Amino acid sequence: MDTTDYQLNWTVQLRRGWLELCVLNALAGGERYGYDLARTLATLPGENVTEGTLYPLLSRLRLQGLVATRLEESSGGPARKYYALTAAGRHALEKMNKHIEDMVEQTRRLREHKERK
Amino acid sequence: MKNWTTAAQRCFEDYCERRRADLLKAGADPDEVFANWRAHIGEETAARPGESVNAEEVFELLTKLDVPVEPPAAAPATGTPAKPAPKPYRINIAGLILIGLFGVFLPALTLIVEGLTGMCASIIFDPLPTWLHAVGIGLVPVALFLTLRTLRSPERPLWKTTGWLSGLTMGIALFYAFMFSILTPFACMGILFMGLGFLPLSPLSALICGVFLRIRLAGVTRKEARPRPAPLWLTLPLGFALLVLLALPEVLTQVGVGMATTGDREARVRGLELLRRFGSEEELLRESYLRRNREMNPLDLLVGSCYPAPPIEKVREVYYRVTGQPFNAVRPPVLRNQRGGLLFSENEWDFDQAGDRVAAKLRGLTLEQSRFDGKVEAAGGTAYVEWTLVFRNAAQVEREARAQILLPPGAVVSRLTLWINGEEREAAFGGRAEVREAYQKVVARRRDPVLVSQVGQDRILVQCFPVPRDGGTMKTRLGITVPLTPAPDGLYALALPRILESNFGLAASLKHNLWLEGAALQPLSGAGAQLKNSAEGSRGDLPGSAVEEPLALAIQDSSPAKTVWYRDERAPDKPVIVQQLVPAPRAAPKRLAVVVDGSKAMQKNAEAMRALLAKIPTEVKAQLFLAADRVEVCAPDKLHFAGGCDNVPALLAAWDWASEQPGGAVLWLHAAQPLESEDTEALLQRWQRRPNGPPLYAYQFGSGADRISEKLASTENFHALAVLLGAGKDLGQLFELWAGRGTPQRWERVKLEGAEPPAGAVEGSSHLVRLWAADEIQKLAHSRKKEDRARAIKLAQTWQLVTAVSSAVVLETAEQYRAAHLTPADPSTTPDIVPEPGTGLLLLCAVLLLLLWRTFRRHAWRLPFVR
Repeated sequence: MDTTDYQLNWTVQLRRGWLELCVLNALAGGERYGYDLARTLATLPGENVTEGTLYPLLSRLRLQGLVATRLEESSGGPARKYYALTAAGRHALEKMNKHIEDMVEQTRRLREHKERK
Repeated sequence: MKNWTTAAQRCFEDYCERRRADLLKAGADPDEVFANWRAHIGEETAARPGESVNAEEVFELLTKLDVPVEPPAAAPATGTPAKPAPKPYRINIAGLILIGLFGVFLPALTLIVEGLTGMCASIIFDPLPTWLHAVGIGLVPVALFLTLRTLRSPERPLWKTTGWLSGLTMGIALFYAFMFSILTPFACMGILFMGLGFLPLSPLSALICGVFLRIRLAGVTRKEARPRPAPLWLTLPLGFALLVLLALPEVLTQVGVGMATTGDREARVRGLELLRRFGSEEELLRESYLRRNREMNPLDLLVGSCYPAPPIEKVREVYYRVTGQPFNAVRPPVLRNQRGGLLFSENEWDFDQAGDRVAAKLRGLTLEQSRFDGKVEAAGGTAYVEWTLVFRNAAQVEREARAQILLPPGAVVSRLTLWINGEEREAAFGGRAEVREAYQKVVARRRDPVLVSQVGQDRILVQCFPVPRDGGTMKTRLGITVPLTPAPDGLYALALPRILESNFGLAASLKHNLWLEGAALQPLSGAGAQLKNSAEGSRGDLPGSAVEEPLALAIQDSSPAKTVWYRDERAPDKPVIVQQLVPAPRAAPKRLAVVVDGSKAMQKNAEAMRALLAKIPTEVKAQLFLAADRVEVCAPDKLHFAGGCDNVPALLAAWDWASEQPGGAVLWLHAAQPLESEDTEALLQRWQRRPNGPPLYAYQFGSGADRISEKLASTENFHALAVLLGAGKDLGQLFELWAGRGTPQRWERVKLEGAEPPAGAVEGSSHLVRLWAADEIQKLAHSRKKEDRARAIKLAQTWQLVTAVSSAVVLETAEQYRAAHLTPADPSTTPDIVPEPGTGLLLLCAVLLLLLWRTFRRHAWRLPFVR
């Protein structure tokens, strides 16, 4: 396998779970509507988050009970759907953040141990 | 918010449909995601110029969604590869043909054939009683076609519509498959052995096709994550229940008819109540014309097992009891025969031709012209009126015109003529049976008779045949001798005959030309009657409908003499007949049972009747019996009306109550009674076995035949009250008399054997003798002696009268008269509206003629043409 292909595949797999964490973290500060969320996530460097990916993800999170939605009329455009974390979502986010920090920490330790050798 | 163009909408929907499966696989809700994308595009385009979102913009934004998108037709080409068109789902050509043939074509063909011909309705049961049924059945092939289309052409799928329709129409097909289930084995055998019978199988074939397509539809939607069709457990019972609901009035009508024709009176009443509340009047009318085969569908079988199908006459009676109008008084239902022709068309056969009932109105047969000519002999208290009627028949078959006519009180038909080949022919008068037999024989040979016979007190039946087809006319004339009737305010009135019931209509342009001589007349009743009085008499045009209502004309400025006489020249001893005005009995009954007809036709008279009942003298003990479905004893303010009620049970109860003590009477206020009652004999028995029992005074509101009065007319205690003013106003006069106010008078006619006329009496006319003869005949008719009856017939023939024992008929040829042993009246002996010549004048004419003849014989040899 070409190393470039291998890296691309690895990045896709990593990003799948990573994107969920990003979305939940983006909502940790308060409710946001879909378009706003999409704009914000689109600015993340290297993630290339598109609406084609984001909205199905948001729908899945809602079906899993991690986020809740509400509609609000907008004067300028279509009605906006606001997303907010549910209690379950907050609890899940807490655990996910802790888990990712642990993983990063373990990866860092492994790398430092190799360098000492 | 911007609107989306159709192309933009289509572009978006196509994209969404292609992403649906992926989204479902990813655990998302596709519809929610589509809504979010839509909102997202809305946000993106909100700030852009332009008033609407077009397909190019949608395409551009969708391409950013990280999924390959097919460009819209007008969109600029991009590098995005187009997704290949989806493949049709697995309905192969054979399946397509089979389902198209048996699921779409056959049900559609069945619907069209049944709609056009009524083939099934004429022999099995009516599958299309309402347009809703037709829509329901029409939905079956449409739904199957749409399901096929959705499965075969996924570019434009109608998932939701077909999902609902397939279930609903399977319910409909199941219902009809159930209804045709008894015929199914026969249809299968028919197909196997003769290649016939596909039409009764079409519901079953549609159901099988529907089940197959539904399975395919469910499979495809599950596999491809399409919208799931509406659940079958909901839609199928819904379709079935809709049809059951539509069939419910029909089923309840059959149950109601079954109950209403049982022997148990209480069950009959409950049946009538059920029919009035839930029954189908249309179905009842259809059943009144055509009894359907009860073994052809399970619903009928079920009802038939509880209530055997009654005879059609019973159903017709139920129709009247439920609706208040005879079945033949309304337009016949559209019923077709097996070839699609109308069963009851304008040219239908008249089953009552030459019978003794008026029966149904015949389309195309009208009274085209009418005139009244007459002479009033005010001093003599009589009048003679000739009513000329011209019938027209627009139908394509010859018709018999029939009418029941109410004569003025105490009047008698004394002349009848018919125009044959432009010549007026006189009638023969004879015994009822022989005259009717002669008429029926001639009708059977389709010649030119007219028959007039009495059917009750002051009621006659006129029958004319044939009124030629294709616009032909027939002209006849009735001569009626009328006694003047005492009217309110000391006046005397001439009542005109009126039509109670007829099988012809009145022409739109019909007017009755009236010309009466001998007295100034003014209308006493009759809407729209206006007369001009002059030295010649009273003239005017009456509106066409005037002969369907009471019409009486008051004699102005003159009144009858107290005593009038005339010699009976046709009797061997030439006795003098004397007519006198004598006081009428005025004693009020001590007990008065008032029977009010509870039929719907009386509703409009309710207020007038309550006001009338309040006028019954207080010294008369009155009891009100309402002849509803059950006999009710009630107060005047509790009267209620529905349907057509049998009045006889109430009359029986009233008779029993009134006869409890001496001096009782029954007053019967009623509308038309087109049906006889099963209790009529019991009623007759009461009056016949107790001749001194309570008298019955009957007063009819409105027009229409009265079969009960026709039966009761043979009893001496029955008195049909004269209807001069109508709507119950005449009864006020009766109550006034019972209260002791007014001086009632009546005519009395007697024969003075060989005597000279009384001193001071005024000489009248031969009409006086005719009226006396009619009185005598009525008395003799009640006798049980054979010789009395023969005398009555002889008297009727001598004076050419239509009475209870005699009728009048005009035949075409002398041979027909000979065959019937009848002799037509000598025109010189029939009454006329010109003054009758005195005996002296007749003798003078005879002498002059004799002299002329002798002179001619003496000088005849001088004339060149005498040999």
